[in-house]
Amino acid sequence: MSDDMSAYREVFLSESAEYLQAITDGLLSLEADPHDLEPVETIFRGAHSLKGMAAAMGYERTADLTHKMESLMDTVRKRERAVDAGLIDLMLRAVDAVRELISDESEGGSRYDASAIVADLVASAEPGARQAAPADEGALSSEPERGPEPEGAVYRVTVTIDETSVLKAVRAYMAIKRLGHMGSVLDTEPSARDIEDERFDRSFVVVVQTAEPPDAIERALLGISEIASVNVESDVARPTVARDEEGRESRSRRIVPKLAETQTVRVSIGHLDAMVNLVGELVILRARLERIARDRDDHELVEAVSGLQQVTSELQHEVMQTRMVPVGNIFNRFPRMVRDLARDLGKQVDFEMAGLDIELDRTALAELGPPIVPLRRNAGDPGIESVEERVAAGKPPRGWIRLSAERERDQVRVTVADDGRGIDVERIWEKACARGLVSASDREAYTDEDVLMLTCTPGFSTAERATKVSGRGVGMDVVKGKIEYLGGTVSLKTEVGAGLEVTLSLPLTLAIVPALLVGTANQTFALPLSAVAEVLPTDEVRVTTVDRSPCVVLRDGSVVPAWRLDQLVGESDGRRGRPRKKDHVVLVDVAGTRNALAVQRLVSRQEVVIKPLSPLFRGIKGLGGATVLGDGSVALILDPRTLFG
Amino acid sequence: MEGTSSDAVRQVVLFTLGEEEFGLPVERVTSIIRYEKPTPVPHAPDFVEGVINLRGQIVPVVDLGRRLFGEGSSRSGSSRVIVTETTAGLVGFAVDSAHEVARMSAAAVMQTPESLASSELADAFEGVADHEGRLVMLLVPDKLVPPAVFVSVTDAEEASADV
Repeated sequence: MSDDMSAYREVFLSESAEYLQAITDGLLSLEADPHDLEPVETIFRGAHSLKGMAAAMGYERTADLTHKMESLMDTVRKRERAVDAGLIDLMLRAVDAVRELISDESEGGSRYDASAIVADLVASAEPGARQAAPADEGALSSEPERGPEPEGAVYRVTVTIDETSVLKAVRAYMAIKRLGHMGSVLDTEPSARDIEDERFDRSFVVVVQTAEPPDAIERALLGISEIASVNVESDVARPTVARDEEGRESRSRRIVPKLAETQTVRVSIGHLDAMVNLVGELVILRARLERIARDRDDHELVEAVSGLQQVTSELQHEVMQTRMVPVGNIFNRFPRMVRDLARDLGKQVDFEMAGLDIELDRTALAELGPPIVPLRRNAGDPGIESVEERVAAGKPPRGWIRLSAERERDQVRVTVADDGRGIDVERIWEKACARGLVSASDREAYTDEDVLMLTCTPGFSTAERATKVSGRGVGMDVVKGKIEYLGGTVSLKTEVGAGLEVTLSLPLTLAIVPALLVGTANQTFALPLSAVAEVLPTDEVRVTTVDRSPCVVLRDGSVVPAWRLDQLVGESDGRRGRPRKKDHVVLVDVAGTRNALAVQRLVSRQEVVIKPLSPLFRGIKGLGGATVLGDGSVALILDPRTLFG
Repeated sequence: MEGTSSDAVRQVVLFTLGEEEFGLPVERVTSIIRYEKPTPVPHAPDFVEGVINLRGQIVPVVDLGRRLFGEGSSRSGSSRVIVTETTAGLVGFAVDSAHEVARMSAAAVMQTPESLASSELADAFEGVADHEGRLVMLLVPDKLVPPAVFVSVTDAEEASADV
């Protein structure tokens, strides 16, 4: 494979993943409502595009398989074959096979044998393989792209493709297809055949008749990757055919959900990561310049640096934005998993998702997928009961699993909830006692939530028996470990018979946060500003003692536990000394829990680049990472959630 | 001792701790830098001196003398940090001096002496090599750091494999 082709391999891989997702989504909605044939078109077109792309890449077996999928869907489209469970299953299996084949062929391998699924697809597409569906009134009129009544104005659209594109024929094909959905394609220059065989330079012309305005045409085409420019001429105008109510109805029905049309550029993850690192370095250098400017008291320099400061902040914001990815990107594979799971177990489960557009840093998102899988799986089994059990318990036969994301300040919360059997807290307690994790007499000291968290202890599993699905039971300990590693937290809520709710909270971005630099006499630490409620003026700090522990009394009379930084980091002896006269007191607030932190120095407020700490330090509480300061020295980042206690 | 592949040559970074000479495989060493006092990390294991900024990366520094023998030595101008790739990521090993990269044949490596093999870190010693008449103890970088404690990684990977 030439270098050019290998550069395009990545583009192909990610685009093919999108098409496969679109096909899967289409199949699932078709399964949900077999009378609504709208998704058929999406599936058909997705398979068709995959075929073209795979052929362009020289992946012949993938092209062949997707061609067979396309042919089968064509019979459905033409109403020669009905939609039934067998069809959906077959197509879903074919999707899996395509995925395997692509990964096989893109690595130049020939391990994967798709001949069985190809044969199944061919057999299923045979006339008479299934009775054609009766033409009932609920079904879609199965018109192909040529509409019965051409309508709208005629446009001459000149499309120019990026000169760097190596998938020109595919891009052209996508453009023509898209125009086909907007109206009818009357002619192309050169011929469609020549375009398909890539016998054109960079531009080609499509004559299209459509009711859509010219700017909509332009927009739609520019939404396709690698289309450099679009020119729409309306000089070929023909009288518009008046549309009656009926006509508009049939027109709107032909509009099928289109594949992603947002204007995007594909950038390799390596470049994004490199950009973030470079911006991080820039932030550090800026801090250094700031110091120098201040120390020299050079007004011109101070001014220049403040300009630099603004630009860096904006740049940083933009770069961080490029890394934000909607959680839908990982959520979208779950409907299929839940479907398969429910089918295998003979359970009835509705799967709902919400907050798909909530965005999260892509590093965090990539790490979030694996922990959600076991949660969702546990919700399906053992969570949701069998139909009989549910009915016996007076619950509706269909259970539900809900996966949702929401944003709260600088945190994103992902919740997996179900209305299944829930967890019996007392049984967990008994089990924990049996395992020697706790002693039975201590039950009083544990809240129900504390007991639930025991399930997050390594090796603790609530599953009575191993099943095909929960298997060895990827336990809650794995989930918790992973989430905490990402700087997040896990919480559990349950009610016996009413279901279980697991909430994962994650920081929005992992890379750069504003922080307050504080210090002991010898060392500087960074405290994330998101947790700093206020810095108390020294003359307002009133120290008192409650239960022999020092506390600070705030203006409003509330009493907050007090801690000394030099003691927390082990620089001075003792655990809970009273804040001293010269200390500054910082009020730290994490989810409503407040603590007063006495620091010996207040240094400055600064953006810090969070760098992970080596695994050698894993398990040390109170630290969230490290950062490099303007002078090149290292400051540890305090983790306000685990610092106290 | 009969070497099975006596012509195999390995390259070893030589360094000293007190009076003794040690070696780390050169392919694992990413750089050797002058020792500077690391930023201490509260509540870290006692053999970890702290962290340093290595061209923007935060790297832990392990007092190798303390790690191996339970006692550190005082730092001087000849002290070095040997930055090494390990199972726990990049780790800097603080040593008294690092002077050369030596080529030695695999056949020159002998069994670890009994006295060392009995220590808690027996696995960290690969063997002893005779280099130009001096004895060099060869170390295994991955065994110098605590084993990965994140046991669940395999499980998580399996879980993600069927996504």
